[in-house]
Amino acid sequence: MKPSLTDPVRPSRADRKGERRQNDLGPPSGVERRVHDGDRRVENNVEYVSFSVANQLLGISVTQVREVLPPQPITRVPLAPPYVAGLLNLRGQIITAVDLRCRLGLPPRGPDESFMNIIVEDGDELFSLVADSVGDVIAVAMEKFADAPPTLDETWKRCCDGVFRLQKGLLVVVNIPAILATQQEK
Amino acid sequence: MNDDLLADFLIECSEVLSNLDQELVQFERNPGDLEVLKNIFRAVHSVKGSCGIFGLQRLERVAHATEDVLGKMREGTLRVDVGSITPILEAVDIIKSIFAELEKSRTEPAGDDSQVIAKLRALMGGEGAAPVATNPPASAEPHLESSADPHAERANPEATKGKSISEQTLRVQVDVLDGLMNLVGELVLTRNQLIELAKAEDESCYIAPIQQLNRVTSGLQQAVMKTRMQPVGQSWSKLPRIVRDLGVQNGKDIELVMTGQETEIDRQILQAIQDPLVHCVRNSGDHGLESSEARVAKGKPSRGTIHLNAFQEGGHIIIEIRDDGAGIDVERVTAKAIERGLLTAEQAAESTESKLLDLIFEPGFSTAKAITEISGRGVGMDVVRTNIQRIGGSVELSTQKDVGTTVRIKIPLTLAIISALIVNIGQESGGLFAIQQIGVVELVRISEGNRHLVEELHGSRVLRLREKLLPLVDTAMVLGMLPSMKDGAEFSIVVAQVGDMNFGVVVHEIFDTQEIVVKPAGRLIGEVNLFAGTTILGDGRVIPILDTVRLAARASVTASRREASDREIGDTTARSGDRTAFLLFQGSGPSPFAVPLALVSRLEEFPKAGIDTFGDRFLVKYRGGLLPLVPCDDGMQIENVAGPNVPALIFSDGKRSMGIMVTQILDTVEDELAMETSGVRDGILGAAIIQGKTTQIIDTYHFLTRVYPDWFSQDRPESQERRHDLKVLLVEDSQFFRNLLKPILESKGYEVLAVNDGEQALHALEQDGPFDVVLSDLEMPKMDGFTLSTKLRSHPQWGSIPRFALSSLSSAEARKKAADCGFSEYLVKFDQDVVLCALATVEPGARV
Repeated sequence: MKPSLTDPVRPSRADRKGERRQNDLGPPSGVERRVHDGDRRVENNVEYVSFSVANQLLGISVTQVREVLPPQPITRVPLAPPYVAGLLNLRGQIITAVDLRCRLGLPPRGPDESFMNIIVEDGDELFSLVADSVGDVIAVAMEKFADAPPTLDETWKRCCDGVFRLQKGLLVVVNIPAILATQQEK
Repeated sequence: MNDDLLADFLIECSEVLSNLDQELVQFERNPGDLEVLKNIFRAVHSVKGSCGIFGLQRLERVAHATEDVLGKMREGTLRVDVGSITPILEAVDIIKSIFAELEKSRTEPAGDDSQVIAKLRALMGGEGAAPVATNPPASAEPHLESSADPHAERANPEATKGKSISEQTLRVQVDVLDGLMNLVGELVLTRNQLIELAKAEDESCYIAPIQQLNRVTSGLQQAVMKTRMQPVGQSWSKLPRIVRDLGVQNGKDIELVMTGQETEIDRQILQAIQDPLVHCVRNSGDHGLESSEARVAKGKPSRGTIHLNAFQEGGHIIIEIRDDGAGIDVERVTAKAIERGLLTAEQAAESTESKLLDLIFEPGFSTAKAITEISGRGVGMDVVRTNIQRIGGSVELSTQKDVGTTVRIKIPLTLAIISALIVNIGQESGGLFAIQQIGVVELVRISEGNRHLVEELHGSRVLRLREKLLPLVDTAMVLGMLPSMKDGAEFSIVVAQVGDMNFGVVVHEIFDTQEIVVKPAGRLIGEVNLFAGTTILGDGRVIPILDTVRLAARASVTASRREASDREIGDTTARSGDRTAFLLFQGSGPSPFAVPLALVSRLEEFPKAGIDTFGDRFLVKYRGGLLPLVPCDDGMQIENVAGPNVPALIFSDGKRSMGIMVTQILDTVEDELAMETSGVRDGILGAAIIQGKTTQIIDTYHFLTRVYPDWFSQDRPESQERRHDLKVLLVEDSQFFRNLLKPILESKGYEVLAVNDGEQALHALEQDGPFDVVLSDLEMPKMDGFTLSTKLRSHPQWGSIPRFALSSLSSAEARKKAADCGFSEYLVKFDQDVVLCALATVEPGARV
């Protein structure tokens, strides 16, 4: 059959590249293990890749994380927004790295402190979110989800979808499109 | 309504409709062509036929009325002329607009077509109907129905002739091809990395398979690029209609001739040139061609011609739009430019004709006396040039009064993989960047010896290069880094051309040129608006590609260029006279060599390992081909060159290239030269003192002909008999060349008078004549060689004196222009043999 005009038979980018999209494929490469928060029998579980930025625990749904990479050589780009750490080469694809500390208004990382790249996709383009460290994939019950507290800092409020109350504290769910919005979109 | 079926119908019809305009115009020109009429019929018929299925009533009504009229024409009962074709074209426009809406919204838009339908109906009952073709061929099929039948179509060889190609093709989504191209790009980069790795080891066992990988990758790259190629003619299908409407509206009779449609070009580029092309063709039809009456009055055929031609030349595609109209009135252009304050009357008087013509490319310039509906849309030639330059191309204009105007667009074959300079900006604090090599004119290294070339002018730094002042942009500063131009610092300047001006991009250091794969910059980086993309180097590093057009805009070079760049130094200071820029380099010995910089196309460095030796010949892979190399002197050995790379001077005449290997490139200098030509040997023109050192000037002719015996391709007579009785007028602004050529000619017995420019030449003809031959340089101040020759041609007394052009420009355009201006020979300045042989053909005694 010929492809139709308005609905071209066009595989999504993830399918084309044969990369993961479903969360039942296991944790993204680079993430060690999977843990459960609280009751395992709860059916309505969602899974988040947890990571920390300046001691704050953050999370991104596993379905949004392509992979997690150790530190890579990053090319700084002059005149780019300050939170753009630079460009990195992921197997021939060029990816813009965003420093979450700078993006979220946190103090900068020391020169000797390590970091991790969390590769996510947004608007047909790949980005690396630079975090201090990446933790476990945490399965949490949707019931524990809450809106962001109204007292939260403006930047944080814009960049987060809400929070999960975990046993060991709060997990802030990151809103990827908001984090990666250009100046104009903001 | 079945959506899939409708989609199929739309795709099919859009193909049919895209050809319809062209066929109708063709039919109007040639009403007897029943084959074309049949195609038109088939198109309209198939549109109408399917309307019922989808319930498209509006479409059906319009198509039906159109078909009826076409039927009358087919029967021969309705005359085919402007009056009858125009309503059909209008109807086709409506059909197209309905289709456009259908594609978007899937529903037929509402609208009133009664006017067009009434016009069509009027034709049906119209008077004055006359047979179309007096003798319809017996083979023509009389029934409309059969023309919609695919089998009948196949049975007719005429109708299938043009379709044979399409039957062997496959429709592929552009996305798939783009994806393929991306993958190949990644493969190219991986290959580059492997080659780097293998180089690090002395005797790697991977070398053979990597070489094989290299070959396969290059092959794959070319094959995939080919899949993205489309015939350039696809972007031309709208033009016959545009030209036809133009002619009808302006009362001009215009014929559009298209050749080279099959020339293939990357689809990305095809899209980019579409609008500039339409603009140029409109310009030709609107401003270029005269009305039929005016043409007849001038003794030209009443029908004007616009000739669109495309062909490949080296790694470029050339598209020419040529009309046989009135030509561009340079005086009017100048008057307008002065009126607009683009230049002063004094500047205009000093400028050459080609420079004045270039004013047309200035923003906001339009020479049309009245702004017409067609081309006065606020889009000028400046937009054309900017758009073409954005994709790495260039636009040139040549014109001759009452003969016509030619616009020549030169564009690269592809955008996906480009040749780029790798540069360092901002030293340690900065990093590597790529600069697209198209647009780069030359490279200058500023160090202790030539620091005086950089001067301060009105508080900004400029580069003094061959009597021009080029504005400099310190890229590091634009990028927010520490400036490269500091007192006492060494830095490099990439001279780039943007629009009609050259400017210097200052960088810390220039490394080499590489074929790079252009990747998008990403939206966060894209905000910077200074980068044309990003790429990955052989070692895996990511670097941004600097966009010189945007850099110039950012540094607001364009705003101040009238003050600095375009002004010859002669305006402000005493003319520095006859200085010539030379490139200095080292051969096997201690004394330096020099070559006129104007002759060198590029400087390159080749890895020693990449140079293959065949006996006494050397070859290296270069830009997808093999480049012959020769050592600059007999004693030079590749092994003796310091470092891993061999520097080479590249010479190119557009089609062929060759390189001269040197041990070291020293410098470029601008100097007044007194050359000693006696006692020279092969390959050396003579010796001169440059910067206090005895320097040998190499004879490029010797090297070029060593590699390509036919480089200068003139059929030169072997005999070089001496002529003692010819009087030669040598017109040349450079004292260096006057001093070089005059003694050589005089030593052969010619009587030579040397003058500075065209004006002086005219004076000399009057005062010091008669002369047997005029040898003239092309680029000169006051009056250039083109103008001189044009003036002489029409002169009653001097028109018959043979005129030879003498130039260092080896471009085909310059040759053509010289021939157009009446030069009978085109001679390369540096080749005394060519000049002597040409003079030997001149018959004495014809002097006037």
